[in-house]
Amino acid sequence: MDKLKNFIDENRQEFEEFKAPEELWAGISQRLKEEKHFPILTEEKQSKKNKQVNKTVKMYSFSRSMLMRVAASVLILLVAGITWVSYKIDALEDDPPLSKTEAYYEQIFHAKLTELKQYENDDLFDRDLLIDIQELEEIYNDLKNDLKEDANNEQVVEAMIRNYRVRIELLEKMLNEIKLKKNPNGKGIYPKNEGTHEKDKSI
Amino acid sequence: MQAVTDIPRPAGQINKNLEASNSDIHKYLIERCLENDSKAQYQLYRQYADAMYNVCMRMVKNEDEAKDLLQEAFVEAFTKLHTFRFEASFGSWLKRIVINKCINLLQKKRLLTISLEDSKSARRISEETQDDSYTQYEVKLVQKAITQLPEGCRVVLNLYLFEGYDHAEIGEILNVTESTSKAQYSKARKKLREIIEEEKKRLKLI
Repeated sequence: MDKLKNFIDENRQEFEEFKAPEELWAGISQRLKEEKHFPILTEEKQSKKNKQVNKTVKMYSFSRSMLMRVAASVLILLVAGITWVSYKIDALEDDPPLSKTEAYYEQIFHAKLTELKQYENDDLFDRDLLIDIQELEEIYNDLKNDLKEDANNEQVVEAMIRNYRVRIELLEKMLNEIKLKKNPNGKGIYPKNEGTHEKDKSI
Repeated sequence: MQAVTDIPRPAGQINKNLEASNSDIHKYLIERCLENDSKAQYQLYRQYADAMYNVCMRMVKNEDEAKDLLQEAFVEAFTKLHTFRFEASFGSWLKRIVINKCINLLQKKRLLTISLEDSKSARRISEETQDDSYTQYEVKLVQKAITQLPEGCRVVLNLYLFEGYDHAEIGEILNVTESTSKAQYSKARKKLREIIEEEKKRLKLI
C-alpha cells in the first residue's frame, strides 16, 4: 500500500492552502463578454451535443451585436449626413441673401453715383468725398475676402452692409446739397437715409 | 447547501458522493451558463475557483502564472461548455482543462521533460522502495519537498496524488506510456523521501 498516497489523502484538506484571488472573476467575466461578441466559430462546428441550444444562443448574440454595429454605423452616417446637408443648406441660405443684399445696395450705389456724375462741375461736387468713398469701397473688398475665409461671420456681413450704407449716405448727402442749392424751395429729392432704410426692413 | 459549497475532489470517495449529489444543481447551473447567464457562471466559478487555483499552484508553483492559468481555464471552460456532456462530473471536466493549460505552460517553458529511459528502471525502483510512515511528517514539510522535485516527476506525482488520475490517465495527459508514468512516480517518491530526510537532518542540526 502506498503510504505516501494515504498520507496525502488523509491530510488532503491541509494541502488545499490557497484561495483563488477574488479579482480574477472580473477578468474572466470581461473575457467572456468579449467571447460572446466574437464567438469562435470553428469551435461551434466541432461541437455536436448541445449544439442546437448553444448555436441559437450564440447566433442570437452574434446577430444582435451585428445589428447593433449596423445600427451604430447607420446612425453615424445619418448624423454625418444631416450635419453635412444642414451645413450645405446654411451655406446656400446664407449666400443668396448676402449676394441679394449686395446686388441691392450695389444698384442703389451706382444709381446715386451716376446721378451725381451729372453735377461733376458743380461747386458743391466734393471730389475728396469721392476719394473717401473709394477708400470705403476698398475696405468693403477686404471684408468680402474675409468672408470667404469665415463664411458664417455675421460681424463681417454687418460691416459690409454698414459700409455700403455709409457710401450711399455720403452720395445722398452730396446730391441733396447740390439739389437743394439748385432748387432752394424744395425739401430735397433725397431726404436723408429714407431711401435705404425702408428697404432694409425687407431684407 | 453544504454540499454545494464544498469543493469536489474526485480523488476521495467522499468527494465522489458529493459530486453525485451536486450533479442536479450542476446541471441546472450549466444549462444557465450555456445561455450566457453571468450569475450562473459566477456561481459555478465560485464553486471551483479555489480547488482549481490549488491545482494551478501545485502545477506551476508561481502565483502570477497560476492566476493567468485559472482565468484562461475558466474562459475556455465557459466558451466550450457546450462540449461538456454530463457523462463525467463537471469538476473533473474542468480540472482536465486546467491541467492541460498548466502542462502546456510548463512545456512552453521547456521545464517538463520526461525521459523514457526512466521506465526501464521502474520496477527496480518500486521494489526497492520501502515506505516510511509518512504520518510523522508535517504537511508543510511534504508540501515544500514536492516543490523541490524535478519538474517531470513532480508533475506525475501531483497528478497521481492530488488530482486523482491513475497512471494510464497520466500517460494520456502527458503523452507518455503508462510505465513511464509509474517510473516517474517511483522516482518522485524516492527523491521526495531523500529531500524530506535531508530537511529533517537540517532541522535537527538547527
